[in-house]
Amino acid sequence: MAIQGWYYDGRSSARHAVTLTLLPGRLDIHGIDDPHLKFAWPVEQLWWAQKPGPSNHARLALQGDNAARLELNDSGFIAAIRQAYPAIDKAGKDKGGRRKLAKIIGISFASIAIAVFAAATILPPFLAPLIPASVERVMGEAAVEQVIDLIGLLEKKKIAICSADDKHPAMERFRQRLANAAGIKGPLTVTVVNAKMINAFAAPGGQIVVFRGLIEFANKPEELAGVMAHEIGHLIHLHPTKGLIRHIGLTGTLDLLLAGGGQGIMGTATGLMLRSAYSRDAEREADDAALQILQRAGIRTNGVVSVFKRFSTELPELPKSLKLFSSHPLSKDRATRLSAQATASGGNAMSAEDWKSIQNMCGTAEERKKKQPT
Amino acid sequence: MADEPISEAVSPSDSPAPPVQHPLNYTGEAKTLGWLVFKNTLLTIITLGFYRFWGKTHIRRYIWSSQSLFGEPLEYTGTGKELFLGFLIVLAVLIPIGIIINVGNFYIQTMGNNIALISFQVVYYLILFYLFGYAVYRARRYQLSRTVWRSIRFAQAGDAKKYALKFIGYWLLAVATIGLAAPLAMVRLQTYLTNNTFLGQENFNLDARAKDIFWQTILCAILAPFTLYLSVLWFAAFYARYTISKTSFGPVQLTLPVTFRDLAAIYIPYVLVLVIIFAGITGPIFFAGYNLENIAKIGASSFASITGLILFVFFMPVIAVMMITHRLLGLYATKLEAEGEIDLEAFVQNTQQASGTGEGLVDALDVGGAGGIEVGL
Repeated sequence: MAIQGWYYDGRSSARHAVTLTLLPGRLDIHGIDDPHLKFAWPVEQLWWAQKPGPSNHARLALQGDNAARLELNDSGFIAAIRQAYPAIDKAGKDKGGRRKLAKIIGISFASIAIAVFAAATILPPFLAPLIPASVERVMGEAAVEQVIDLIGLLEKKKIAICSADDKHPAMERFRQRLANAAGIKGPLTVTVVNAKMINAFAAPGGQIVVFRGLIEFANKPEELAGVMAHEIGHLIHLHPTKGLIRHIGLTGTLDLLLAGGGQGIMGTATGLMLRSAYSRDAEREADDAALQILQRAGIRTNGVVSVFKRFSTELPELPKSLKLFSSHPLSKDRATRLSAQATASGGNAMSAEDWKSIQNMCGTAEERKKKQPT
Repeated sequence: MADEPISEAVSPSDSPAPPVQHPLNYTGEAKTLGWLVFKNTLLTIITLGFYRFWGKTHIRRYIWSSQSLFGEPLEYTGTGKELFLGFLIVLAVLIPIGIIINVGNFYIQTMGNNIALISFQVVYYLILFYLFGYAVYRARRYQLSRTVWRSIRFAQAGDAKKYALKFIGYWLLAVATIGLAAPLAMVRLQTYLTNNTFLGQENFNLDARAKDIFWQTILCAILAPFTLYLSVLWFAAFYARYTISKTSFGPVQLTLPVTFRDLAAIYIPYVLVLVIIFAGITGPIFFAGYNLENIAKIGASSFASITGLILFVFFMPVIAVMMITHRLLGLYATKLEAEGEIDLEAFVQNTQQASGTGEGLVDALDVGGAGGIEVGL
């Protein structure tokens, strides 16, 4: 079967009228005006430079050459080519292109997986101890500021600091007692902030932030001691520093990988998912450290059990916004571990006067009501 | 496919004035383009961003093949694989640079030395600007080298490093002169781009002068705040008209008589549509106030709003390609004129090899524009 088409040689823009003849295994091209123009293109090396469209116009090219073009405009001929070489619709510039591509994609996915894995697991424990204390402190202060601002947004007010450290004698005595028992290197700062959220968190550079809500939630000082010892446990294991490094590493890597297509949000979400997978081990380590600290300080350890149990049973009734940042999910396995080791032996966490004083750090309930009429 | 009369249709003896032609023709359909962009966005999200290289390639292939130059369609020969490889290469270079910059920035911040911090950031932004200029040039080079017409490639000669240096130099000058040198920056950079653009061995030539656009630039900048930035559209039309009218290709002189009204007819409906959709979606959220508890209470309506917001972000590229890219391509095709005889058969391929991978930097820096589609010479 033969039709007329046009041939471009890839070296010039000159258009040559040609006769196309489809023979078994090859496509013969003969110049109509130019008898020297004579080619035979093997059918199985053809690919569509322009796939046949509704107007039946199509453009053919040849693998290996890739520059020359054949324009044709005949539905019958196109069908005949497809019949002679059914795979033509999937063929591209180079032979085996798809297999090569699959290899490239496979290798790059593997290296990305390795990079993400390294950023999440290998680098943080390796880098965290190498960071100088002064740098850690700056990192931690920035993190604390950010979290407090965020809580402020949620609670729709500027979060005030009730007291930091030595300015409050009762809290200072309590802090010293826990710090000595923990044998923590470097400073330990406790900041109480006036927020109703029931939570506490540790930040790099030996910083613990306690929310007013947690002090109100605690039934007895041993419960507060339990949570604070747990946070000191996080600090001993450098969890906040590792977490921050992991966060920087993961978001950096993922943002770079996934950015560009406007999918920055995917990077953040993936980062969050990967991060949360590491918190379970950290919680266990912090629990163990908390029990040790409390025992060394001579404080009853059953407070830590009751407070975390109450977190999981009483918190669900709270508004959702207050649970959002609860980073201490009490799994069954954590609860059993804690209860097995905790005892009622040991002393009080502090005197009754000190407890009263700490409970009123952010002002008594009446004082607060006066300041902020609801 | 309105075949414009080509040179042989005009009898040369009767008309001493060279024929005026519309060299560009565009037959793309808005709904096909919209569908391609929709598919691209969807698959890109599903594949955590990896489909975008192939999606972009499909979109370009469609746009290129919908355009014809002197009656012959253009062909886009780039592949997703090339874009992907370019991306991987850039990643290998950018990750270490990124780590060095981040760590350096961090240490300098903890030092508390303001002069050190400021100089570090100045250097950082200079590097970023340099990379931006470099990326723009490389992307253009890639796209031109993958544009084929009558089996001949377009090409961008010149040097990306040189362009990047010019880019920083001219724009720093523009900043130092509170914008007075901005026309110079635009004209000089555009001249470097255009004069290095080739079809085969024939290059385009731009003969523009900064003084010709000086007052218009100043006027546009001054009037922008008082005209809801419509003066920017007015300037864009003027600038396109001016630069194209100063562009020649061998014996062919180009003109593009676009007006403010042409551009306004494209951009204003687009902005209005975006504003209406966006207000409809975010209205309830604003009404509820940015409070998680409130949002939980009014549940359904805010859920609808948030879903709407996600859909909005999802469909924005579709709306953009249908209302902007498609219509601009149509506008350029109808308006572009070429005067002068051109021998369509006489172009010879430049033997200079085109690079094997492309555009990674543009992708990593997110310089692409609407779906990575750039229009213009």
